[in-house]
Amino acid sequence: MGENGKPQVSSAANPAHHGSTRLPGVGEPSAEFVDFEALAREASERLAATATQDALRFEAARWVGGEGQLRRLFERMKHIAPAERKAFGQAINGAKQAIEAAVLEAETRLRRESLARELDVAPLDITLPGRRGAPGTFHPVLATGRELLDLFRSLGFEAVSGPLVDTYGHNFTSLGFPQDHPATDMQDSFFVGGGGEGDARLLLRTHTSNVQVQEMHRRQPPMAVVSAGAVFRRDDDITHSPMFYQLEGFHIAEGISFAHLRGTLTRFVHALFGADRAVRLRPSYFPFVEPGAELDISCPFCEPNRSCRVCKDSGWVEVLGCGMIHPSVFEPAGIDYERYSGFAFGLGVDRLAMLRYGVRDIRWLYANDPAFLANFPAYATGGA
Amino acid sequence: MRVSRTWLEQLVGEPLQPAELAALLTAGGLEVESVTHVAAGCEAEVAEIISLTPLAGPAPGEAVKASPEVGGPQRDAKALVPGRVQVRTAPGAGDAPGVVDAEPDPALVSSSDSETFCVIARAINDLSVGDKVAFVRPGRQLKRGQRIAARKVRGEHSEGMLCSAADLEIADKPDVVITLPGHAVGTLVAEALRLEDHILELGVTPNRADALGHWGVARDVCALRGRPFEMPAGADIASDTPAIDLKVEARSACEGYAALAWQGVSVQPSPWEIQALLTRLGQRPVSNVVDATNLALLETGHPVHAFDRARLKGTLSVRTAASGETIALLDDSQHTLEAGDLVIADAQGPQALAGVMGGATSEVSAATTALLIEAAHFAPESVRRTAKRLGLHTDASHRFERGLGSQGLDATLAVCARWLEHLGAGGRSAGHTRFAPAASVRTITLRPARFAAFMGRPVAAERMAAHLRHLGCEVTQPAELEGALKVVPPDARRDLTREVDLIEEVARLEGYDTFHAALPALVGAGSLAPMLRREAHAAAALRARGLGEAVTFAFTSSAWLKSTRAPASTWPLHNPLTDDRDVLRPLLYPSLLQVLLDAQRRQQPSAGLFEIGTVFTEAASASRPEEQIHLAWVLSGAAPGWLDGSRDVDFYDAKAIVELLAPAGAITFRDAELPAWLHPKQSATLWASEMGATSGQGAPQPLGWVGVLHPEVREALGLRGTIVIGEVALAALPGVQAGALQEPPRFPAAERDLAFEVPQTLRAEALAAALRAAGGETLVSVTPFDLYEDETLRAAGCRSLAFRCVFRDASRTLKDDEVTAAALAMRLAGEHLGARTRL
Ligand SMILES: [Zn+2]
Repeated sequence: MGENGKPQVSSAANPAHHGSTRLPGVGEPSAEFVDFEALAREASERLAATATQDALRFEAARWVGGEGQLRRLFERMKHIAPAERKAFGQAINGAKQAIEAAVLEAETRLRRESLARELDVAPLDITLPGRRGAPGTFHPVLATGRELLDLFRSLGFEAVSGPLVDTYGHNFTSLGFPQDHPATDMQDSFFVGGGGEGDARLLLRTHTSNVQVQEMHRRQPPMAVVSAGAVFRRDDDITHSPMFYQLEGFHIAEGISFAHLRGTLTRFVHALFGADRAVRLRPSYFPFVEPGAELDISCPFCEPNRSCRVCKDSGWVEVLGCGMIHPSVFEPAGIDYERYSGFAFGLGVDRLAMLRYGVRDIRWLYANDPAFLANFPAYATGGA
Repeated sequence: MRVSRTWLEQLVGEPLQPAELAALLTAGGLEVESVTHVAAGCEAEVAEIISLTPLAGPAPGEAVKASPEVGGPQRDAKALVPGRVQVRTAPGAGDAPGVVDAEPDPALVSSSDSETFCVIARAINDLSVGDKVAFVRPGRQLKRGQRIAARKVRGEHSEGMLCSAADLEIADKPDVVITLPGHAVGTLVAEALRLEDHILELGVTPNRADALGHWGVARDVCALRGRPFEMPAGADIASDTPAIDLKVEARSACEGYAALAWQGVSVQPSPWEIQALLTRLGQRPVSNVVDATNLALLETGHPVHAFDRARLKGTLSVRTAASGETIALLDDSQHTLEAGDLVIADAQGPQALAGVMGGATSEVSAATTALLIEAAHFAPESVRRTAKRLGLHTDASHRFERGLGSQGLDATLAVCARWLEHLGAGGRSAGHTRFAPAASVRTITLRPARFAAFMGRPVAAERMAAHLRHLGCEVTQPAELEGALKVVPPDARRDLTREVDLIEEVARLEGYDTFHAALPALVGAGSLAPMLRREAHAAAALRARGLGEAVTFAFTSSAWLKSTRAPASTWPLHNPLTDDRDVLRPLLYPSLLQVLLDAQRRQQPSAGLFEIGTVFTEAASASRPEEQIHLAWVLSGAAPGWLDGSRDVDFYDAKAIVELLAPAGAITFRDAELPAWLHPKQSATLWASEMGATSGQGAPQPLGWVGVLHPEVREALGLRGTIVIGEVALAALPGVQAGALQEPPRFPAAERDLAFEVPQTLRAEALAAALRAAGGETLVSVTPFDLYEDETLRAAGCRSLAFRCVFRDASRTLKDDEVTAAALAMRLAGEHLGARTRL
């Protein structure tokens, strides 16, 4: 306790040095002498012998409590001759101080003993697991999607969602796919019951690009929108799942050019894969953009003098498709192609997740095997 | 599509390094998916047979193939005669630097310096002394990584191998030993047959029909190198006589039709080098005539078909089929046609399915001497419709579907005729007929200023004009266009229809990577749609609770829905991949039960799982599904945690999830309207506590449900252990209301615990409500903290329930007796409901 800076109280430091005082009987049958020194000594001994807080409280009450010895002696004061009253009072106060100091000392001692007992226990087996059990897990595709949304939001894009079941018109025709064109072969659709004929047929969306149609009908430029979600195509093998995840983004305003497409997507690549990634755009074809492009990044997985499975030694990994929005998308939405321009991009969230986490078979992503999901403990993703 | 590097080299007229070529094409928009080095390391050489000795017995090849366990040579040996062949080659042939890519094993090359070798051949039927054969001497390679060793064949020492067409990958003919008349002994076979090549596999996008032949690819190579492409000439096909009486009836589906009559052909196999070229380009060599049509296709990109002229009767017409007409095709398939299918027909009926495949009746055979060769334009939609319906995806239909031109038909026929001559088919033009109305001319204006604004960088008008001319466009700069270019694209580039198409062409020839990068001004605030935010928060809360985030398919099986007692889906898929994914799901929990079942089948310890996903229900309008975001969870087996003794999950574990999602008290749990898939006594439906007086539109709907899976469902599905599940409509859950802020208290709280023996019939929430009502203004909260049951209590129809009650005043410290008085009032209120105070 002394180390804690609290006052150390002991009888040596605060001796009760009053001698015994004669208590003269006034109108009393006997005149007693009270030996206050002995009284204080006895009290101190008894207090020092207490072993528990309860015992200490009981003992302290016997001497200095409201019903205690000293109180009773004090009440006799009025019977004492005035001449001796002062000496009696001093003696009784001396005893009181001595006993109170002893109480304090005993309290300190007991607290110290109690702490010592608390510390003097058998050590725990700290190798046993924590009480609650395994952490929760995140899904690699959803986590990647949330992270991508956050990234594009930091570039001003608004994150929205779109319908999974949409019309043929919104999924294809409004995006510039001619009816019955080979381009629709790339996206073999699941058709859904209900709906009408032709463009009114219902299908599970084959890409998130239907969000473009939704948003262009909902508002006027300028707008920058990003959306992620499930899409569906009739494929099922090691690299194709009938359901997978895409992310779509587009930015329409006056004066948007191919340079802005390149700038925005380069920023995205650098944020996701590091600023040392080279970006390559090469011409490609999607009916709803022109010029259309595929964006490749320099392979982040290549190691010197080793064959690379990811890029098949080409040095480049395909990340997304993009381009300048085609006039045939603007026109049905009533957007003036001469005044406004825009770029759009779409990427496979699954593919990015697979690259990131080294997942070899896309079907693993949607089997929800507990052992597979255990690869992705909740603490390993920053809130995403 | 496959292209040959050596062929492109001839067309472009300059050497093309494979890697450079691939990079150039990819950068220009023809993505090279792979480059294969053909005949790499082939050290076969030309050798001359100096003696032949037949061996008795089964063919050595057969005997070698049959493993000892399989037993004797009972297979049909097709009368192959095995034999000992002695060949002569030039000493030191093939030792040129760079040909032998590794030191041969000395043990194998004892005779490599000699001039004669003795080979045991599988079949010598077609061989004669003096024939030149393709021979690999011992220690040398057939191809890279396949070195030939001297070895015993049928007990005979065999030095090297004679190569078959299959060995050299020239044609799929393993029994045909290659002979090379006219080549000098010692010449490398790869050189003699021009085998060494690189095959580039191109991923041609659907807009680039022009790049589906070597001409188109060569044109891109030239344009990317800044120069025009010159089409090589074909043979002379001019003729004053018509090839046939032609009638084009279906003019909307056929813009042009050219026919060439060719007489005096002799049908035989093509030379080996041509067979090799076709094989590596993915075509099966058939005969010189058929090969010539295929080579014309591979060269020009335009399909060509040859009829046996003698089999055609009367007028040839391009018409739509009558419903019910039939046709037998070259691939031996029979088809019944529908009205609208485009056919080439003669007096006997349909002879070809236009743009898809020729008919068997007029097929070229060994006896054919006269041809009618067709090059035509057929409308993409027509070809696509027929090909798709009949499941016939052919080289021809692939190209027609993507849109070919109608103005270059004669050039295509001329190329075919050139190939006929080259392949030794002989013959001459005996007539030429053409139906070729001029195609409509498309004129497009390209404004340099628009290009600069759109691409972020200007390109000089002259330079743009040059790029477009290299692609075959006619480009002028008339004064009235004020600096803009007037562009007429070539007929075959049907994909070029508007200004932006030309912008793309110029941009890709400039190189996309020559355009700089810039960030646009921000136009949005980077907001997150409220529902997406809610999904993210809920998912984070559940993950933090130790649950795993699952993603299952939006479709499920109607049978599975039935066995999980879920409502039937109102949204079937018309064309499911498999029966077990035939409907859109109406709820999430059946999918999670499937995941759980899969895990249990693999003996995977089950943790809790949840999914936030879309479900599809009937909308009010019902013209399309209503899509709702649901959150479902499933917990099973042992509850997490181990120190306090193991127990199975129960209702309260599942209910705890709800408490992570909405403010306490905002949701009321009832045992009304329980779904059929839940335990009837251990489940609840969820309702908004604030029902409001405005339940105007019908009965209120539950927000969700939670409980123990019905034991009958569990048994029916083959699931094990206790399973608790829950599902809510996430959007309908009460959210956090923005309201008055609870300030931190300035005065201490006082606590009192009240314990009761509570009859089973009295619900905790009812008791707590009574306690709250009786607690006065200073009562802050009443929270159950202990539930205890034992045999005695149960026998009495009771359980013991204790509440912790917290009191506090905002302006002062409460006095002990005030709190005691309030607690007493609460105790009496509890007792009034039939609870008995426990001391
Ligand atoms: Zn790599």
